[in-house]
Amino acid sequence: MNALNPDQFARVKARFEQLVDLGAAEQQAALAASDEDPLVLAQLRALLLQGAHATEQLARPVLTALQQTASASVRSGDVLGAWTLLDEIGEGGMGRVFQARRSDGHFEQLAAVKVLSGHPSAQALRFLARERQILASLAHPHIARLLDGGSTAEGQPYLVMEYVRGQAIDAYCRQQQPSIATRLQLLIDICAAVSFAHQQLVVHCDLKPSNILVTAEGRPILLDFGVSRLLADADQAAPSTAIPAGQGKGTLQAYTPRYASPEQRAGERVGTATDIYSLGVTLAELLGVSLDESGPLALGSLPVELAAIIARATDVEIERRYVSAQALAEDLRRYLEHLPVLACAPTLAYRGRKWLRRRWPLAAAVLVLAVVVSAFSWQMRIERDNALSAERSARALADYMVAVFQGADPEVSGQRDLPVSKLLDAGYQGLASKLSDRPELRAEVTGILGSVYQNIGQRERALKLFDEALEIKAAAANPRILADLLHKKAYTLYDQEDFPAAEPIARQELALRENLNPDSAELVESLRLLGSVLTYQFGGDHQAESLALLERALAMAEQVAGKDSVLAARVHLDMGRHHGYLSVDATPVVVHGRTAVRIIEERLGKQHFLYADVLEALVLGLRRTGAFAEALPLAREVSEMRLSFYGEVSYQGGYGLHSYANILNDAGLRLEAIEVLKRCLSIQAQLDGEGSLAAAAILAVLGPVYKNVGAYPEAMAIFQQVIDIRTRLLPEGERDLLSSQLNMAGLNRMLGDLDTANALASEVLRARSADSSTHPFRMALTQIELAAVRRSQGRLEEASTLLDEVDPEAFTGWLLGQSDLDAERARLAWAQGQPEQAQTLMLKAEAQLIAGLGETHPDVWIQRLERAEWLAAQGQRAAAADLARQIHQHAASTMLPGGALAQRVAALIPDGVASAS
Amino acid sequence: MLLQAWRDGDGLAFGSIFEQAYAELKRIAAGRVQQVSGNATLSPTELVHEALLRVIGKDLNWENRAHFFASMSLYMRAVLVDHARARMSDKRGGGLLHVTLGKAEAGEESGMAELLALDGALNQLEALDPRSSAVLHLKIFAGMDRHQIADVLGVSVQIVDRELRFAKVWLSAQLESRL
Repeated sequence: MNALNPDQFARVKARFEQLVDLGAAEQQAALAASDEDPLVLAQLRALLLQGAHATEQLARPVLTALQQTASASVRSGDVLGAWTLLDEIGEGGMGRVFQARRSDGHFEQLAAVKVLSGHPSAQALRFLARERQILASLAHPHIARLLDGGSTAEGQPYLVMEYVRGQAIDAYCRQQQPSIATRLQLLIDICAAVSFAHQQLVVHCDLKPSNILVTAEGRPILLDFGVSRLLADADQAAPSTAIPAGQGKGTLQAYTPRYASPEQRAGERVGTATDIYSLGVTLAELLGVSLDESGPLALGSLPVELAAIIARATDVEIERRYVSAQALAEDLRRYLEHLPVLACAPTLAYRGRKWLRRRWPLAAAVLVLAVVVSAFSWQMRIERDNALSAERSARALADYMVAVFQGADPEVSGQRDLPVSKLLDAGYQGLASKLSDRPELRAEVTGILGSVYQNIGQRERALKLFDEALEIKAAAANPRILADLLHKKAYTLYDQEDFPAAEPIARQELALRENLNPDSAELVESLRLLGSVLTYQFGGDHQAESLALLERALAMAEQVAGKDSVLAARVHLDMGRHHGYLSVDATPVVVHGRTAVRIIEERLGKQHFLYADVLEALVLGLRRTGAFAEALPLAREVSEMRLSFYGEVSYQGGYGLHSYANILNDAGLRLEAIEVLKRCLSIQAQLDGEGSLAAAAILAVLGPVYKNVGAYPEAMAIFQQVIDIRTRLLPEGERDLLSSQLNMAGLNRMLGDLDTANALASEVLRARSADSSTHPFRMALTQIELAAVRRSQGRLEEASTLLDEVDPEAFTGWLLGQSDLDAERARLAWAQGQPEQAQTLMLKAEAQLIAGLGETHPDVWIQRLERAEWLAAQGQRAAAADLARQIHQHAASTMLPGGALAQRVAALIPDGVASAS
Repeated sequence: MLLQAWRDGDGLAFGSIFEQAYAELKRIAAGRVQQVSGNATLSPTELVHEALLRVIGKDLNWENRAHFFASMSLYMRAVLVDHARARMSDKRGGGLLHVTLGKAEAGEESGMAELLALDGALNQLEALDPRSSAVLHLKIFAGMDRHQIADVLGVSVQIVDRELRFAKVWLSAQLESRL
């Protein structure tokens, strides 16, 4: 096109003017008839086809250039309002920074003037002016004040800020080499400034070392507070109407990638968590961690607590970060004071280490625990809730909570530690008003709130909310929401151990999800829930159905999420519990338990609450296989984690203690178990009131413990409570009272009320014989107890018959039981006047017990008490006393001082128990 | 040639007034941008007129004023082009990673490139057809109407119309072929 010479150009122009006013057809005809130079013709054809741009369009670059030239016009010496610009002291993406002197003659003041580049619209400028008022009120000793602002004659906005004489904090740390403690203190001060601003609803959005100056006095000052956020909002308030098409969107959003949170880099809406992230990165840099643009921070060289603090502050997940800058500061302070930091797992060992370094009064430790609990529990509960509900719902809750929170009384929202319950109550009250026009969302949020209540242990409240949500018509009509709500309700009923009520609901939601989400994680959850409910549902074919459901859940979890997925681990956990509760052979419990523990440790780490759950299942298995030595410390760890995560008064804390008590019982450490179980009961009473089904479960452990330590009247009262609670709360046919009754038969026997004992044991035997599903083990225990009663009554023939009827296979796979049978045979032989056979049988029973529990188990020693008594009866008082002393020594952990067992032992030692030790 | 003569001679006498007028022009341009918010009807015409009126007042007689507009527009064009070149080379040669990610910088860069393309195309046309190029320049950079352009160039309005029609088509084709 440019190849035209002047002559050719002249002909193009001349012909163009001839042809341009003609119609298209005439133009074509003329061109076709022409014998003109082909180059000229081609050019001409192009011009005739070319529509002319409008003058405005051609002139547009001129206008754009004019604007941009105008914006570069500020220079040293210019006067902006009351300020005369001095030297330019910096240039960044947002604009240029000048040192400036107040020039209105009133007084001498230096300031930093930041002239922003770009041209916001008039609307955005008005917004900026309003926001400047808020920033100007941000008076804090560690924040550089915004003094003034305005726009230049050319319309460029500028901000006037307090001029701080100081050095950027990173340079300061390099040059002055302050101690770690000093560095942390600097950051704590900055956290206070950030926290202060957050309370005024101002976010910094561009925190980094170069925005933190340290004065000659060592005082850190934060610059540019709220500037970038202010600009971003101004941009949002006036969506770039100022800038002509083609020029892009205004240079307003400003941040520094290295320090920016993932959500900020992703261009998502940012909040206070963004500042926490940047504080974390800054902290890392001040501690000498080199910042690589990509990848996680290399924290390996730092003390483990500081690494944990930084990791927590810079977690990719907003929910996992510190909830406030204040919380970050407090953890740093905690570190400086050698207190356990919240970012670390509050394991026993960790806290113990801190305890030794500190030597503070006990009260301080209690306080620490309380703070740990309040900080952790909210996070953990939310997390657990999220695990149960869809991510989308969690977001809905978040948005809604924010709305509720913002609407709350400023005095309340400004409060440093808003109690969870208050927040929830506010949320509940806001439901009807805020979401009245969106019934589906209201149902979902009601459901989520219910889950939160569930997770902080307020189950009745939770159930009430689920029912409310289910009554919303729009929710019931939406199968997804309906299934979700039913799932939640069934879960809470299951958690409340009301399995009969949970079962039909779990079936209903499973059916819904079979249609809605075939082969999905949701369906796995439903299978798990029904499978777990049926695990604990008493009687019938539930065991087989439960196992089938859980096996299907495991296969599906491995298919949709992978063999080593957390989902699969959860099913392993359920299966462990299933086998632990129902199977004769405890090996599968240990297998599933170990698998789940391995996966969770690998995938989520030991700090995750689920780790405690799976560890608990493993403990159950180990306990059943008699591996007490391995189980005991693990059980203590579980209990410790539970209490730390969920707080003393929580179901989870209670469960942790409950299973710890179980294993203490098994290990023969029963005096300790009693204390733990009493604590459990107190927790349970605070959660659900006295006499709940969950309390009955605890009492069902406490009863045998009391029985085993020789506290018979106490044990009797406990079993009666269990029977009363279950009779009151469970329908007939779905309650297992027989074990308690059998225990009471034994207690009555030992207390000498043989008629009552006989009546009870006979009734249990009748009931169990009539039920074909009775496990042979239970049947055998019943027969043995009744035989003991009959023996005590002197009905030796009947006793003998009963023992002969015991299924020889009944105890296969169980640690105990066979020794009970042999011991009872021994007692019968003794009663029949066959001391030698009695002795032989009793030694056999002992050997079996040793095989199951190990040589040193206290129960092995208790088992020998009878033999000692027989020795005494045979006149071998010295040998009896000797054995009794050893029993006293080795079985003290399972004998209540002054109880029946202790009295029997003491009776054999002539010069008193004191000489035994 | 007429435009060349302005560059060499007449313009010098008005040097300081140019400076003033140009500053005034930028100020008005920025203010106008805020008010109109990017409305496409905003053209340099009114900007230039208003700027000159503010600096030289209404006393100047028409003929002088028209010449002054023409000179002013050339001066403005030169300044804008220099500025655009400087900004473009800053961007390319600076090598420094900008700390801020802003969308505007890309927009600004394309604005500068468009201005340089416009200037280049006008210069090319000037080499082949000075009058046609001058008509379009006065239209775009000085914002003059056909009568003013006819007066300044000493030609009939019909010629101005013809030249303008051709120049706009020509330039449009040139600019599009560069894309």
